[in-house]
Amino acid sequence: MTIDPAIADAWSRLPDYLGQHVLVSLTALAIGLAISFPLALLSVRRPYLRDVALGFASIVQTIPGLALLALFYPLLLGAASLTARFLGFDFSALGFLPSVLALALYSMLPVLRNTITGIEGVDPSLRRAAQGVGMTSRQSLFMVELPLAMPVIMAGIRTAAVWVIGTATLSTPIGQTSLGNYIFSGLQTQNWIFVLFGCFAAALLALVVDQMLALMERGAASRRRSSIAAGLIGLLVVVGLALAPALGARKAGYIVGAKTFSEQYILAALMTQRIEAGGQSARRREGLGSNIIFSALASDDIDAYVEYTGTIWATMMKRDDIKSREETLTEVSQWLEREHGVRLAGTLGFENAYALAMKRSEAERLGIRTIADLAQHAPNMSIAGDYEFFGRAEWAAIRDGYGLRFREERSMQAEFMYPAVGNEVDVISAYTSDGRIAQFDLVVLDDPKHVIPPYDAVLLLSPKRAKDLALIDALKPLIGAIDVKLMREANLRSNQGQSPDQVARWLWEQLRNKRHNSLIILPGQSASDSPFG
Amino acid sequence: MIAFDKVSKTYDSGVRPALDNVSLDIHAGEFIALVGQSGSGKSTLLGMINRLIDPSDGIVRFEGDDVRQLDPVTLRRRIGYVFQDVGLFPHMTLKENIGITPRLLGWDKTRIETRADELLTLIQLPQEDYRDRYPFELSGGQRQRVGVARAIAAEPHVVLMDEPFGALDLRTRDALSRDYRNLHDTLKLTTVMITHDMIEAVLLADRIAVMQDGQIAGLGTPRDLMINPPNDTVRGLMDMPREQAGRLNALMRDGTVS
Repeated sequence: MTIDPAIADAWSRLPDYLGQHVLVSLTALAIGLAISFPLALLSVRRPYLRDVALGFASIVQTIPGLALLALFYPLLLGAASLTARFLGFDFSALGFLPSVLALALYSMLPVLRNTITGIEGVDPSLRRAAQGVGMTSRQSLFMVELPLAMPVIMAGIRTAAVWVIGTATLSTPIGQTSLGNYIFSGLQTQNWIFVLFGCFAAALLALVVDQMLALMERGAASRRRSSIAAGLIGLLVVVGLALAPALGARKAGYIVGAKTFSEQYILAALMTQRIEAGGQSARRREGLGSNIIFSALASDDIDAYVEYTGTIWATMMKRDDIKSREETLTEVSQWLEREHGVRLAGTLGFENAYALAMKRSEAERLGIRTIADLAQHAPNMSIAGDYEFFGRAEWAAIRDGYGLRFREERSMQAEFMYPAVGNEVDVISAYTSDGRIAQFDLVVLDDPKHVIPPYDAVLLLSPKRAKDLALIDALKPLIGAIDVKLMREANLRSNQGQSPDQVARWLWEQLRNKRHNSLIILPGQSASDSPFG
Repeated sequence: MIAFDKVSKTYDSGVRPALDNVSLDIHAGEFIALVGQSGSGKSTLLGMINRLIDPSDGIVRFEGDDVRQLDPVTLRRRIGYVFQDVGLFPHMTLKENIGITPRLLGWDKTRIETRADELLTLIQLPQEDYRDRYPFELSGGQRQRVGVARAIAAEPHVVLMDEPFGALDLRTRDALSRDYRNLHDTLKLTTVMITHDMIEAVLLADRIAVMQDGQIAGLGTPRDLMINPPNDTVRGLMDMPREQAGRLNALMRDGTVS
């Protein structure tokens, strides 16, 4: 009997993802409890504080989980630059810290609310009795009201734990490894086994923790210390098992970043495999938002990832002029070095540009070959883009350059864009290296006015790793080696359900067979300047 | 022992005062019953002794001291209190419940345990069987016995009782109130008890204070008040036991209640 490779792949990642998930959830819950529990105790006899605390926690609860998590990244980035300037140290604004803080905030409401209502719900005659036997207000709180409110408080902690464990899956896009990695990467690479695996694992974890806490809750309610102990021990065992691999040997090693789409997962897998083949250890931080990933690299939170020159040109350098591929590459490379100390190690050999695409049959029927042709039909058409597209400078350039006015603009997940074109929408934003252009029989519209900048895939190294020879040696074979045809095929394989690791291994086979040796020397640099020279 | 000197109490919400210029001396070793309709001021009067309630006007003295000069928590630990709804702490064993005031007073552990066992024996709950039980395992009467034991655990001289036996069935109430009166005598306690049951008041108390509209309408031994009621309110209340007894006798004699 053979195990499905996707399942085997999912299993192999479980110790890392689960461990990280438990670590981040547990820390968040502990911090959340450490704040909200004393706050609740303080609030019990202070109606004003109580209203403020509950109001604040309720507002936090209305913020969508993903937004709350994303909010902490720029917040911490600002804080880190302040501490760097005034206190002489900075910290990583990515991954663990923002996740923990956001989740801790998220956990506060149920604990606050249940602690306060639990204590307020204690029979007033017992409060009077406590006073009558000579307890101070404080003694009454700790010796009578708190123990009696414990079952309600435990119920609040249970709710908080389940929320935090569930919401922790959303910490993946801000760079914290979690069980959400399965879900996000599965969604991007159409690996539904991953998606299901991630959902199932997160649900199971939440369920187990909930049951252990329920056991403690029943123990607290019936004053059976054995139940409390059993629940606590069970909880510790679960946490211990989950954390054991995470706390074990995982110290040094390179961190390869990946954005939120298949090509990035494949290339990150390929880089990781190459680094490991070179005898080094490496791990991945996948599913990072497009803006977050560069900040992460610039601040050494990740060591390497693949970026596209046009993205840096338009989004970071805020350039709206269009230059040739070579000129763009040179200027981008110099800008990265100058502004961020980031090293552009070389091009991979293909371009993944933004483009507009539509059904071939429809384009032929309407006689549309270029974006200029599209302009006159646009008012009767709808366009779909990924979540970033309509906010990007490239779209503004295309829209204004050709005077495009569509009937409707829709944002959707890239996976759903391709099946939608031709029925739900007429035009989509596409990527030139996407295998689905051929698969769905689409045609990419020409850009005669050259408003779209070139998008060469380039390998970026963090300032810390700019001269790291072990890393550079490991990644050298990828430089200039991947043409757009090869990348399209790789992307298509991923879309057809192969895991990024499988596709990366296939891609490496192709590269080896080609024995592609053309090293690309960066324009404007002498051979000795190039890290691969 | 306890003295009320022209004490008044007005609540913010109250139209008329809950207590209106009341003076009352309670002597050491005395058993006093406070009777009267709901809202007549009994509970306010009782609560002022251990500063659960502070007067708006006038002075309450405890063993000669103005209670406002005493720390309320310390004062309460010196006074036993038996609650109408018993008020045993459900998360504590009987031993812990009984030992609560001694624990607050910082007695050492063995002394608390010895005292708890002693009191369990006194209230006829064998210590081996009951020490580690929780209140929910007891009957109503047993619970109130523990309530009494808790009140006297720290060896107070004064015990305040707020309708302690009101919720119990008649037999239990009778047995318990007699047992308590014995305890009162043996331990030389001073007891102030609120009750609605006139028979209980008459049979237990040394003196009865009849409360009416925040004032003391009558004060005296049960016998005095019955023979010589100062007004109609007192007469109405004090006649009740006698009238009931009369109807009972009539029933026994004639077979009908006239």
